[in-house]
Amino acid sequence: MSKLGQAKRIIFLKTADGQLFEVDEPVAMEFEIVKSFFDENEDAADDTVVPLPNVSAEPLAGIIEFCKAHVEFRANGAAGKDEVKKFNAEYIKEKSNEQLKELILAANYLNIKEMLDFLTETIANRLKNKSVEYVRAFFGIENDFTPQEEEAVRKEYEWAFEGVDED
Amino acid sequence: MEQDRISELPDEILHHILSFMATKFAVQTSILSTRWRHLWKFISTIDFDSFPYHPFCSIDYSFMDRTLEHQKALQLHKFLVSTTIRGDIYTNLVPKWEVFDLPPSFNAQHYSQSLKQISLCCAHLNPTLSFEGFSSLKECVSALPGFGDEVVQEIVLKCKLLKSFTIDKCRILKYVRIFGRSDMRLKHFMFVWRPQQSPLMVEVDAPSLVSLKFCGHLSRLCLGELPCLVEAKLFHDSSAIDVGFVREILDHKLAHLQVSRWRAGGTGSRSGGEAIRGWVPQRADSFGKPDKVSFFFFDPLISSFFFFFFKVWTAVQNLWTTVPKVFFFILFSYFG
Repeated sequence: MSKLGQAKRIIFLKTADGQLFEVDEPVAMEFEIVKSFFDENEDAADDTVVPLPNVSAEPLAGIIEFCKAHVEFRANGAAGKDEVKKFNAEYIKEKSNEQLKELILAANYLNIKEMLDFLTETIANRLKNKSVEYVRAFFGIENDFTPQEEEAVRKEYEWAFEGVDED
Repeated sequence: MEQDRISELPDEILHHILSFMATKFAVQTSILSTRWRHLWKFISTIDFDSFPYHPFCSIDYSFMDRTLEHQKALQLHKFLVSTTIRGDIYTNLVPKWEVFDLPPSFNAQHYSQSLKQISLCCAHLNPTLSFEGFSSLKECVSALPGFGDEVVQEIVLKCKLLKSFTIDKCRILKYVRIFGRSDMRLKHFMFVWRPQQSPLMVEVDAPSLVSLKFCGHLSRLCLGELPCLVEAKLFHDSSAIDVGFVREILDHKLAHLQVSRWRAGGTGSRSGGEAIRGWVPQRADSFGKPDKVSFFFFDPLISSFFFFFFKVWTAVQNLWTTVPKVFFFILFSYFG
């Protein structure tokens, strides 16, 4: 990264639905995919637009909000633990399951480790104490077992299904 | 269309999500689809938290064995085994705490490099676990009856990253030493000790210790330099609380001190409870000035009632199983 010395560099990101985002460099570098883009193209011009064909505007805005806050937390040193937790809880509170899925898909594509860790834990918490059917609905999993196969799996792991309601 | 997209998530992320779940639940996800069938085998957590336990019935724990046989993960970060019943009263009242043998298919040593969190309650480890290579261990909860002094020492000395250490229901401990390294990272130490005949001595000298919780009965507690200590909770279980023991705690600059005890019976003219109540408020200023000093006293009447009730209950249970039912039949028909 040859432009590191500059005061404030803006990275341009273009989403799948054609929206252009202007992101501060430290925030954009949280995205592994953006980072490697610039690592590979060291001579990229300042106004290079990084295309993100797998991410739409809504989740990207959410991700930028999250990363921005976390970059700031880190810059403030120590990243005051309670403060971060409070932010994370606030951040995820009003997100619907649909939004959460969009976020994790985008975070996975952009490869942001910190956010992925946070999102997987959030999803796990939302699935906790739920039925397997709920998980199926949550992830929209299609049951591709034949009835015989399903029965075989049930039998194989019989002990795990003991005491579980069929609904 | 969205539902198709979520399947783009790589297995690693699904593993990660499943790793927060109890193992039983993770196994259940195997019926979701062909893709999910084997997913659970690769997660880095074994969590048999709150598996069924009943003091009067024997429970088949072979499911644990069967689960572990399927385990294919290269690394294991968490291994948790505990029972549903955790209440202090309960452990107090069940005289012979039933333990089961951890299946030999679980070889903790095999995962020693990667295990970060280990929690074993009421399990027998066979062969005994050696904490020699557990270089990543950060959190350890041990409620193993066969846990000896030398194992505690070994954990403290060998697990360099250990942050949190809980010792519970370990019956053969005599002299617990939490010290030995200057670079120790231990922050939280919790010790639960049940009323015992044999004397116990605990020595704590951990430079980065933040919180200390102590519950039970002991002969002596020695505290070294604890510059970071901000929270101490003491649930003392002896008939007369040792004032010198609390003074030792107060010598350290505490932000939060909590002292409590059951059975405020006490011997002599002044019960331990009164001694403490009269003593701390005056002295607290001259010692470390804790921001908050609180005391709890459980009504001895209530606890003894529970104890009595439980004794009667077990007696009836035993009678019912040992004495032939015919006897009861004769007895009832005689009185009837």
